[in-house]
Amino acid sequence: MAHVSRTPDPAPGGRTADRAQLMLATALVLATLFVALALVMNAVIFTENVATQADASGRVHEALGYRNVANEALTRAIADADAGGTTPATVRSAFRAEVANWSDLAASQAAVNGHDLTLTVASMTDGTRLVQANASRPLTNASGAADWTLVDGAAGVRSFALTLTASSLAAAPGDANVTTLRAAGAFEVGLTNSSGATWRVFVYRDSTVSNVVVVRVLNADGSLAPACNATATNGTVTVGVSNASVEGAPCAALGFAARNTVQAVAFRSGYAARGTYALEAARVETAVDDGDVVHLGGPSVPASRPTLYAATVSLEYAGPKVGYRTTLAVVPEAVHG
Amino acid sequence: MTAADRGQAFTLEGFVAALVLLSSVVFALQMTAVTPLSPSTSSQHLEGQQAAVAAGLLDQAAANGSLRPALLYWNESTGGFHGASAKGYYTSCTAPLAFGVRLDRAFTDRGVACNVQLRYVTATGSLGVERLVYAGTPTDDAVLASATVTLYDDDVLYGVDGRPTGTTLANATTFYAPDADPGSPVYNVVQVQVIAWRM
Repeated sequence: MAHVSRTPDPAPGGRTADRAQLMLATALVLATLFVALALVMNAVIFTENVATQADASGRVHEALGYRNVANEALTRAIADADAGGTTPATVRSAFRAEVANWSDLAASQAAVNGHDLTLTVASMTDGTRLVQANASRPLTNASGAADWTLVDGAAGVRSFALTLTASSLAAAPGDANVTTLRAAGAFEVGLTNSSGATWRVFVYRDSTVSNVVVVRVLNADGSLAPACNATATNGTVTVGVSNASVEGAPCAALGFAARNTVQAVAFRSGYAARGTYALEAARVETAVDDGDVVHLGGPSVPASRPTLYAATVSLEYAGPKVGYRTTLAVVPEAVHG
Repeated sequence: MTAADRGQAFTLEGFVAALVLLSSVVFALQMTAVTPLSPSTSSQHLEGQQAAVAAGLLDQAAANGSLRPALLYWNESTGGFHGASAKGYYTSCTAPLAFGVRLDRAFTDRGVACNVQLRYVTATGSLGVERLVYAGTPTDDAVLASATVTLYDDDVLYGVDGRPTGTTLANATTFYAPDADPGSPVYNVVQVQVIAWRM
């Protein structure tokens, strides 16, 4: 230690006493600095350790993984219920049963990891599938009427597509207006939204170009949208109303279907088109069935069958550290039109 | 104070200064603790990375539809996966079909070994395990990632050429997982577990 006696320093200015004080002060400063440094260092180590732990994100990932796989299983459960049920009640009970079975099996798997998984059906929307499977039949109703309404009062329509034989369509110039198209007797689909606005989709054969089918949309505001053309592959053309496509190619004119809740679909000049079609309407089959279609009819007639249009299912996941609850809204091919 | 006293004081002061300096060096060295993040082959960083790779691999395979064919690449006559060892599973971190190629690319080149096991529900409600890939006993620092796949009665087995056969699970006789719910279109719910560790 430096000289700490109070003996007067022979050197001028009393330097020894000052130096002792300086040493003490320096030691204190150093000690404080080291303690502060140790604290900072430990905080850094702890932060880095916690921040890089995959634990929390891993558990969230697991919960979200269950949500994704449940979504797939529910979509399939709707398809299975639709295929098997013959009345709205049997469709509903088939869906409930499959969801309960899947939930039990998935819960058995989750339990091994200490997780709990439960799926509960919260609500179901009854629907009706309208279909014509006979490609050579005109698009008339069961009794042969060419102007008829497939469905009205629905809470939505999805998965609507038609595959038409090109040679069966009325011929008109590609840029024909509505008056010309109606005079030519072109096949027409009317789609009305929940506000009562109606879009009309004309499908006809181009009289000026061989083997080309034209889709023209008369918008609700009275304007005529640009035409969509397609060459008939194998003699047929597929018009996807719900997914706004013609023979697989996007057709902007049909985009209205996805932007609106369609509540009614009607055919006009159904004799001017032969082919198949299918659509799902959000209305219980007993209300849709007015004699235009045949309940559970065979391929030779336009048929209807009860389906589930949509369902909501509550998913609850409980892990050791992560709890997750969500409501899954399942609408297969969720493109309305 | 004499000149000799001052010399003594300076010497003592020198020793004390040296002690302070040495103490500070020792103290600083002691502060560098060995944490779970200190570099080593069992580093938590590496484990986290391997777990993320395994989880990403399963997510991608589930999303692009390559996971299901791997589960159904089953040889009905031998009662094992096509081209697998006599025990019915693959013995290195690779397998045929797209999923196997992904496994190989994700792990083997990086010196990581893996096991892939399929956990299914038995007819009695308990769980059974089928090995798809078994490369050995995992080390203590192994990580696990899992994905769930639902198999349906009408899912078909895949042939050795990777194409679907006409044999549905409902008609299969030697398939590893039983029909856990015979009254429903759901055949079984399988959890695919990838266990990876550094070799």
